[in-house]
Amino acid sequence: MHSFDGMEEEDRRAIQTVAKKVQTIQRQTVFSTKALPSRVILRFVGLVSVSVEELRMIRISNHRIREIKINLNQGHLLIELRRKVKRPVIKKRRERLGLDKKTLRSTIGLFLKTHASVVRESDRRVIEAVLECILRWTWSGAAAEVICERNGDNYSFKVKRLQCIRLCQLETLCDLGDYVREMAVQVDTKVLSFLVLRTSAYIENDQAKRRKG
Amino acid sequence: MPLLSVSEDSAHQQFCKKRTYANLTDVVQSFSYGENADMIVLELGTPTSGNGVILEVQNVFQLNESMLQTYRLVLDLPHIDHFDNEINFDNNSIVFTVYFGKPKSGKNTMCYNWALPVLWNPLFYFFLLCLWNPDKYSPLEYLL
Repeated sequence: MHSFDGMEEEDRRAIQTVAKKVQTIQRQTVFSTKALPSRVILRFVGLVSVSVEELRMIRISNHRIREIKINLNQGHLLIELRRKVKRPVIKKRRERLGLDKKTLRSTIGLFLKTHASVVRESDRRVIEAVLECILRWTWSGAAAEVICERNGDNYSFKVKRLQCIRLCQLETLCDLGDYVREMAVQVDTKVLSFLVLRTSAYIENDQAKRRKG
Repeated sequence: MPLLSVSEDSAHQQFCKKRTYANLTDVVQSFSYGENADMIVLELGTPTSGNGVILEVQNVFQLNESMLQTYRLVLDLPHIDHFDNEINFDNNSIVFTVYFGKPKSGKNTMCYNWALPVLWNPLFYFFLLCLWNPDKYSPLEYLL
């Protein structure tokens, strides 16, 4: 049961729209709300799995959604809604990760060395980009356990021990290219899984560049 | 299992992890009373940016300065390089990210470290000659 007393009509409608959207994905989800002066936090419990496409659908369901976050450690989905409060905009200082290229490459190189039998030489750059993305998400947090398997021409990735993941972080992985597919978060088992397809396009491009050189 | 991290899994790291976990658990138990009766320590994993451990104190319902100060004191040990702590009010937890320093090698190596450059320096042998026969080898003799 939710008490929406003292909440504006617009806030209530926004919560209702988002909750309906989430419940179309999974009917048995239960949610709680926390209304703060600047934002409303919606917490959904009971999600089994959610894909990136579903998260995108939730995001476009309301224009006031500020952030979508999955807390894998606690097993819930957090959605932050902006409230209609006009406050002076304070420019946030951009925080640096403190992750230099050398460390990044050496860590990924070490990982690929242990997976030399799995990753083909021609796919190395793509896998490096994927791993770079995951390392950036988890930098200075808890290390993720990455399982990379090759099934025919596809690489199946499973990322375990992730504490928390934002939709914008998942988007950075999707932005790498069309070869990142079927991304889904298993909330109950705390696993992020996706496929990396071995498309012919990037291999051909790579070969053309070599011929030029 | 393949962890995507800078850290290395050595015997020293394992020892440091066990020691830190045991120390923190002991201190947390001593503060487990009243509202905080159910406090527990959990190991969340290894940090990606260095050798260390991430520990979480769960079910913290009452915070006080002496408790936090004691936790910080326990983590201020020689084998620990530095640590960060984060209080999560939403989940009632405190997360400590502890980074370990490099293991110190034996005491004797320090002695060899400074001895080697000295032994290789020709000035050292000239100095020995000066001590042995100052009248003959002292640089002052040449100048005067």
